[in-house]
Amino acid sequence: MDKLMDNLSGQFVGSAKDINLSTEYLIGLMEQVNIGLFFLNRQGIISGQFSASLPVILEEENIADRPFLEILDSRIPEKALRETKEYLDLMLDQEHDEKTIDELNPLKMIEVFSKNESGLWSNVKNLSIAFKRYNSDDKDIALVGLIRDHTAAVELGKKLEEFEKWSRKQMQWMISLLHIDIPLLKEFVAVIEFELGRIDLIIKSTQKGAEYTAIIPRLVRSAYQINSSAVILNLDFFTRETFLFKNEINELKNLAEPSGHDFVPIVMRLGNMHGMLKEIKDLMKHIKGLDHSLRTTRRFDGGLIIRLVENLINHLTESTGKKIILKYHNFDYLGIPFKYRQIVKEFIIALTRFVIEFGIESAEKRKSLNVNPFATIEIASELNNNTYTIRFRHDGNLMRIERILQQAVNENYKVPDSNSVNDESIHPGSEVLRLFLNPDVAMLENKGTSEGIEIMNDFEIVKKKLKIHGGRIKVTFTSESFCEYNITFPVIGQSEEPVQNNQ
Amino acid sequence: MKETDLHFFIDSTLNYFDEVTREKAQTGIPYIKSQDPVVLDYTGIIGISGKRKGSIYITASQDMLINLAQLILNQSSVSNEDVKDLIGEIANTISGNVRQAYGSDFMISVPVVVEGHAKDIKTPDDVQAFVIPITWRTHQSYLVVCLE
Repeated sequence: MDKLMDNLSGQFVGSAKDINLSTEYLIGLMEQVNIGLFFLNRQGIISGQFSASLPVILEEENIADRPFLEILDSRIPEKALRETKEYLDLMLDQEHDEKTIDELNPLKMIEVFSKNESGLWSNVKNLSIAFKRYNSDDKDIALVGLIRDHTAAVELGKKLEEFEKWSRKQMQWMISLLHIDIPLLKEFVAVIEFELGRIDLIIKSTQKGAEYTAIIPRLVRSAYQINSSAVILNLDFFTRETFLFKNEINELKNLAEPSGHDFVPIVMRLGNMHGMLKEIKDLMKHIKGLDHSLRTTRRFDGGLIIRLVENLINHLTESTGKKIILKYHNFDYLGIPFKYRQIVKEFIIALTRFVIEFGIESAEKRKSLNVNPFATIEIASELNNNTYTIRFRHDGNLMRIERILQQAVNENYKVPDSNSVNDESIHPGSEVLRLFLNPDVAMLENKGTSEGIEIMNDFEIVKKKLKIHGGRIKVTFTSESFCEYNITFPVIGQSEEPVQNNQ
Repeated sequence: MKETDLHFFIDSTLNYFDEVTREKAQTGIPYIKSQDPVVLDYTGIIGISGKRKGSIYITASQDMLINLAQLILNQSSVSNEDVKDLIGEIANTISGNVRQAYGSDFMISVPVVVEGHAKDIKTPDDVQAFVIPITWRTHQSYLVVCLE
């Protein structure tokens, strides 16, 4: 169509010269094809004769007798306006070859803006503006201008391009999301929404320079939560962003006096995560039946726990160079009382993190110690008449555990009572347990890493929750073979919720 | 929008205060604009079009602008018109810096001044807007940047 119009307009101008067509006739012809036609004199002023489409296309009522450049002023970029002036000067100078000059036309395809009522830019039109010399006896006309509006086609092209890009990304994300069980996905969204909201609030309510350093640990905590949630669901696209976000916050910790400027990278990442979360939520709306499956069956949930632990182990072994085999054939997830489902999940995840961070050596180190480079984590469960017990056993770092505990004992380390696990004093080995599960002791040989601190914080929270549920924890280890955690919940008098038929 | 853009807008605004008043302004932690309006007594808005589209506005309290105008004009009493001109000038200075930094491929509108607490200043829905709190003396103002 464009080519046709080029030819057509060229022929019209040529014809006008050859058979002396009147300008009125030309205008009449152009009206039929919705092209803006106008004539410029040697001073670049638009003549009183132009097609009716011209004011509509240019969104300008008063066109007659005005310099063409004045109409474009402030509506196209300055650079383009400058180049247009140079181009028109050359076109008006008959000494230069028209075809050669035409190559310089900066208006071949250009965005032309129009102001809204407030004076800010609102509309944009994609126009092509072409000029041809008008070689007739009429000395008042030097150039013929033709304007075509391509806005609809350009917009459609852009939309298609954006849609293609968007749908490719959405497809990849959708595939990632479909691998995740619905309750977990909902939980993930809730956690991320909560943490992002918390970060927003912290940032918004902290506007005094003196407070900047104080909020960093809170941001680190939220970043860790966000990252952990993405990791255990194997949501790579989100994990990447959260990892960068976490790194940016860690960078801040190295600054003695961070300024508002220093928070810019964090805020940008935060913006990205908000955007991603919004898209995930939009995608979730498309997953059929999602909103009707809030509650889960025990069977479903139990399988999820193992899957989460597997994801977590895969991620952590990759980043730490450790090798771990997970055994769970004695883990009867059907037996998890409904009431304890969440705390069991949280405890196993926190313990897995804790053990991988502090309890298991790298494959290389294990080799050098002449033990199997693959460490083993074994999760088992047992339902008795009045208790439900989770057994979590691993065979890592046993010598180190003994050494740390000995070191703590040698240093007369005192463990505060307030946050201790439910009345360990009545359990055998409670002193060891209280020492072992205390952050300061566990980190005696692994101080300072923010990841380590956050893992311990997680562990502290889960310990408190365990206490609320009336649960108990016992740790047993031998320096030769294993370290085992026993978490026990009372089940006497617990009302069981019916298993839902959720296929 | 990139990090460098946000840094650039912060610097431009801080430079304005530094050069005009010889007193440093402080920037707070930028945050993402939510549904909550960010509008004080006077607002200067500039529209950006061309290669990238969006808008930037600075909004300030009357007290701040009066103090600023008194300092700049070196007179104790300033009119409402002076205050309006001033917010327009701040926006204009920022827009001038934008023009200088981003080249002439950008279309930058003449600043539009809004007086009074508008419900909110509309920014494009599909582009994230960042709020940069600026404190000069004890006065709080906000620069809102919304750019593709």
